[in-house]
Amino acid sequence: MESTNAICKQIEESLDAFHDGELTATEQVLTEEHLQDCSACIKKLAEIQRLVHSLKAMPRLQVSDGLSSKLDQIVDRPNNAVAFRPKIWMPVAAAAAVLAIAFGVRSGLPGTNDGAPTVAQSPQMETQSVGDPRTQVAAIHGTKPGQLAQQVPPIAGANKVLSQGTRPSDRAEETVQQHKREVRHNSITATADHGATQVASVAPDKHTPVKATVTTSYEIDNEQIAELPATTNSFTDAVGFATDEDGLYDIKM
Amino acid sequence: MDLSDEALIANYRQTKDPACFKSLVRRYENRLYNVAIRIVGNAEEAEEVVQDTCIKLHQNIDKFKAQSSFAAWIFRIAHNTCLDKLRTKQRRKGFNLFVFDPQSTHDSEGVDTVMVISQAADPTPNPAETLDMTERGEVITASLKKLPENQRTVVVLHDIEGFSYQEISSIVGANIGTVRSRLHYGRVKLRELLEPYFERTDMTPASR
Repeated sequence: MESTNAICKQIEESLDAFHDGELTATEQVLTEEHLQDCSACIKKLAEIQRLVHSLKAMPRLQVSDGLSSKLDQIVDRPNNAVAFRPKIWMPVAAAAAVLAIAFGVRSGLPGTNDGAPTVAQSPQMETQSVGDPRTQVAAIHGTKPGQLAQQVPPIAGANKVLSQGTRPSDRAEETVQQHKREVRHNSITATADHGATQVASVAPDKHTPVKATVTTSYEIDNEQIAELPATTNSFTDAVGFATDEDGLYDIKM
Repeated sequence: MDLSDEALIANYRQTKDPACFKSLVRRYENRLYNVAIRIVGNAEEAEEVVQDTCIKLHQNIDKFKAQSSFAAWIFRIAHNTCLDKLRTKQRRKGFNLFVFDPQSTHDSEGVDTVMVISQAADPTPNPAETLDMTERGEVITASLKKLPENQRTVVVLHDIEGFSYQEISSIVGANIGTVRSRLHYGRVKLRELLEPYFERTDMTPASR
C-alpha cells in the first residue's frame, strides 16, 4: 500500500506535464500504465483538466482606445510617446540636490567658516590663506614656523583663551576677524590701507600670554607661508577631514 | 495574406514603414495586456507595462534575432517590465516584515514578497464571500493573485496564453524543469483555492 502511495506521489508531480503533453516518452508510458489502475490519480487528472479549462475560458481583456493611440505614437512620435511618470528616486534626488546646494553655498560664503580654510578664489588668494588664525598670526607677526608651532596650541585652545581674555584682546580678535574678511574681499590687492596696529594675546601651552603684534599691512611673505607646516584643525581632524595646500577639503582614508 | 511576425520586422527594418510596426503591436497589445494585468494586478500598471514594452520593442527591434520566436521575445520584455514594476511597488511599500508571512510558499526569490504584500493589501474576499461572486473570471483572478509571482506567471503564460514549456523557459529565464515544477505547484494551490467554488458551482464538466 505504501509503495502505491509513493508511486502516486511521483505520478502526481508528473500529472500536470502529462496533461500538457510535456513528458518524455518514457515518463508518458509509465504514467499511462499507472493511470489504468489508480482511481485517485485519475481523479486528480480530472481536477487538473477542470482547472485548466476554467483558466482558458477566462474572458479576454481589451486594451483601451487611449492606450492604442499611445502605442501608435511610439512609432509616429517616439520622443513624445511616454508621459512623464514620477519615479521613486526623484524626491530623494531633489532633497539631496537641495542639501548639496545649501551646503555648498554655506561653505562658500565669506565669513561663514571662521577658523577653517577657505577655498582659494584666485591665485593671489592661494598665497594668502587666512583659514587658520595661527597661520595668519605667524605670517603677520613674522614668527618662524617652528617657533609658532611650539608656542601656539591647537586652534580651539587659542580661541578659548582669546574668548576668556580682557576686552582689549577681544577687540584684537575682532580686528583679526575683520581683517580676514577684508582680505577675502580684496582678493586683487591684498594690502589693506588701515595703518593701525593692534596687539593680540594668544595663549601658549603653559598659559603664558604671548604678545603678538598684528599689523594691517598685508605684505605677506610668500616664502614664509610656503614654509609653514600643514595647518591643523581640531574639529576637521576629529571628523576625518583635512585640507590640501590649495585649501580644498580632502577626506582621510 | 498576413505576414509573419518575422516578415513584418524585416520589412520595418528595411523601410521604416510605421504601418509594419503598428501591425506588430496590434497583434500583441491585447495578449500583453492580459498577461500584464494578471501579473502586476491592476489595469493602470498593466497599461504602463504594455506601453513600456512596446517602447523597448521599438528601441531594440534591430536586436531581435530569429533564434527564438518573436512572441517569446516580446513576452520576455514584458515579463521583465512586469518584474521591474513589482519591484518598484515593493520598494515603495518599503518594509520586510511580510517576508516572514507563514502563507508564503516555495522558493524565496525576492518577488515572492510582492505576492505576500499584495495578498495582505488586497481586499480579496474570503472563500465564503467568493461563493457569492457571480463572475467566474473574478474568482479565478482573485485566486491567481494569491499565488507567488513566479508560479502565477507560469500559469498565466501556459494555461491562459498557451505557451509551451520551452517558450516559457525562454521568457522567464528558467530551465524547463523549474517551469514544470512552478506550474505544478501553482495549479495545486489554485485547485485548493478554487475548490470551494468548484464544489458549489458546476463550472465545467470534469470529464473530457
